[in-house]
Amino acid sequence: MVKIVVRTAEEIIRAYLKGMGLTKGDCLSALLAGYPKLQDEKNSGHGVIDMLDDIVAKAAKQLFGASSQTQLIALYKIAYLELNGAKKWGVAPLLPNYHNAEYEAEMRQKLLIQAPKYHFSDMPVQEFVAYKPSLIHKIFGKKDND
Amino acid sequence: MIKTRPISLNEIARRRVYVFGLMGITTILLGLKWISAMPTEANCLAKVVMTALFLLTSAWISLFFFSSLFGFWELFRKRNVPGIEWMDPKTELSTKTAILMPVYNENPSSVFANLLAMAKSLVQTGQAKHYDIFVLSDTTNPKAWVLEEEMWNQARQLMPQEINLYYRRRPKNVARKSGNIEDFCHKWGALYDFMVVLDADSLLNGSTVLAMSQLMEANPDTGIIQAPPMCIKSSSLFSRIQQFAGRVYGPIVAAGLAYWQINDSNYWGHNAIIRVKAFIECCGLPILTGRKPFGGHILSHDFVEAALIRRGGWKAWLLPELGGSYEECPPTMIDFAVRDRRWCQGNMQHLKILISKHLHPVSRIHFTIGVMSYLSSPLWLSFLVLGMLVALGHEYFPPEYFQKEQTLFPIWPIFDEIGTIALFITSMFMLIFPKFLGVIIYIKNNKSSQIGGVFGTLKSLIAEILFSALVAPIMMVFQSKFVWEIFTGQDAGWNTQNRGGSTSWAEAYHRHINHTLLGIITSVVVWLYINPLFYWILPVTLGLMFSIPISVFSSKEKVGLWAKKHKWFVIPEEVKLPEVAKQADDYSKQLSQSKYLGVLALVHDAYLLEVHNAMLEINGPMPDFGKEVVENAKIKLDNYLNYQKQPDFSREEEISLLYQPEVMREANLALELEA
Repeated sequence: MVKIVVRTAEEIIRAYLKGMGLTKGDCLSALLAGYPKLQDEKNSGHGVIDMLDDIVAKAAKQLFGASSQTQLIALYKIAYLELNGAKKWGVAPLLPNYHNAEYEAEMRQKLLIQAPKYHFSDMPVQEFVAYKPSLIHKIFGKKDND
Repeated sequence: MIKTRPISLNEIARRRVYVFGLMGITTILLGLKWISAMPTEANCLAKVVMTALFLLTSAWISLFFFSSLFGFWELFRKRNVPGIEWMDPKTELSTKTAILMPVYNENPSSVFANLLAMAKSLVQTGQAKHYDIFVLSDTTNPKAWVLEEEMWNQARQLMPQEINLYYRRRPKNVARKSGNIEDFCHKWGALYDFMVVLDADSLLNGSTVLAMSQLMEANPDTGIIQAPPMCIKSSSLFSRIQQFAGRVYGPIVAAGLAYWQINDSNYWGHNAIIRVKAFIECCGLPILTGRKPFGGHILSHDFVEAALIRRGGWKAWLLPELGGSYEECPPTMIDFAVRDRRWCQGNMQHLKILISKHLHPVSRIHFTIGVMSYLSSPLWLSFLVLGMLVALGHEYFPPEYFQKEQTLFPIWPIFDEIGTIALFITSMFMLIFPKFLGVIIYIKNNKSSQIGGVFGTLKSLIAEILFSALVAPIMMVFQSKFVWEIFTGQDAGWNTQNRGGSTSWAEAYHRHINHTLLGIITSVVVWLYINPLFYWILPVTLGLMFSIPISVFSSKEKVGLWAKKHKWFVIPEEVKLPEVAKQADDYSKQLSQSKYLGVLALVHDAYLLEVHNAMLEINGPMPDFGKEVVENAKIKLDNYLNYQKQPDFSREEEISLLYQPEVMREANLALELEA
């Protein structure tokens, strides 16, 4: 992991939220109120980041279904940033038990599709069989039944 | 709408008899003349070898000549390729086509701009919903990889709603372009009926793409349709001359090939539509046995795929009447030669396939043509060297007028000078005359104002012939060297094609010094020892002697644009750029690149970073670079984040970071914290 110079949990959360466009001060307090564990003194810097990632992944899973955590976080943040989610919904979608039909529909519509789902086909490997020098073989070669 | 013309099997056979019969007769006649014109005192072995070389090269130019002649006649009578069913352009498609853009360390903004322009053009046909676009990246440069993702992300937002733009990058580019397409077919091929395969510089009109899909629908036994591409957007003198030559002579060459190939045509690797089912069934390419360069993965896969599709019972068409199919020419002679090196190796590999069972005879001819395109150079060179040796022998070993057997009269050596000159003139005529035929069609089909006037075209034609004459010996030596390298086991590797820039004097010196020395030495030897041949050999030695300045001068964009201003080598597509190309230029300006490159572009941009992370799953797992590479990369990134030390990542280090989303996210967070 990359070394992060010692910071407080609040600073890390603020920077994380900033990356999602959430720069208002009340976003931090709302998130901390929703997830008090974030302020646990035992948390390392990496621990706080992992918790934040879990929060985002959980919100993403509700919208996009099962996928890897990395993928879910990425897809959620892309849709959220493209929709200017910070302005539309603030930090609310990350808080527990958030339901908003309009938000869900818009986020799902913005889901990034890199490629269609796989529909596998097998391509049989073709062979190239070279001609044997059959004429010479016929004239000079031994016949099988000899 | 193009009219459908039927053709019988007898007619197809008749066309082939005409072309190859005439080629055979001409070769025999030229060969007989050559035998009678050869110096009688030459060594017997030299005579046999020279005759064999003469016959091979004569057959080669005769085929080109007669094929072009028939092509001219077809174009003159405005006849399209018979035997294929055409549809009304308004017919609604019932199939789905994937447009595939395989890329390898290319300029992403130009690639995506071209795709956007094609998409826009497709929307104008009203049938864009039947198409999806895939960018299939084999890029190995991490900076180009990130840039591709950045451009893809911008392009997908500019893309018309009807068309999906997909992107995936392979971590390992197994089997190069053919492996890239095969990977597509393996994963997504089943979703599509047809695929249009492009090159990084390909550009197709929407109407052309639509016509190709419609032709595929209307002709269910067709496996491949090739739309011959035309060079556009050239600016250096070299590429403008190539572009002019392609525009003027290309149509009769393509029409000539189509005349005798009919439904057994070839595939040129791009600007073609392929039936996915046929491709999946027939085109799984084997790894050739033996060592590189003959063994290993098949490099020039296109010819092989066409042969396999044909072997599988599907038809393959070359349709010059499609139009609206474009590409770009290599900007310099050196870039042209570099591309030739790759193609040469690919074509020589075909020698192995050429003799395999169950191939269609016309497929074997395609392979032979491909091989001869390169093998003809060392053949010509050997012919010239042998000719000079015979002449030198004549100087140093005077003929014996009285041999052991007593004869009434001395034995006079016979050298039919007139006959030799006649053969030379005939060969030149067969090489140059088709160019004049091309010009007739060119002038007939285009308004004078579109081609820089009739005088402009004629002066350009003469200049092109002179320029070709200068360049031909250089390419002959280049290609002879390539063939030699290949036969001695040297592999070409896989280099990105240069699509811009000019040649420096240093580079030209490095590449052409041997050509220059060869030209000078040959001229001096001929001047001193076989003086009568000096002026005959001058067309060959002149180009070689001046290869360095020719290479530098012709690579200059300024010279090319000056020539354009003075109506040299003007083509209609320069006077009025095709709409799709104009759109591509506009899109290219809209696609913007971030301040940073590679890993740094991502750690400085949270949004772009997540776009990159989202792609990782489809791209596949990280190749194993080893612990040391991964750790070094992290240390360098640390130093950048904490001490602002510019990282000097190796390619592997940078790629390893790009596969570690957690590390990249934390690095981005660290920068946010510093802000």
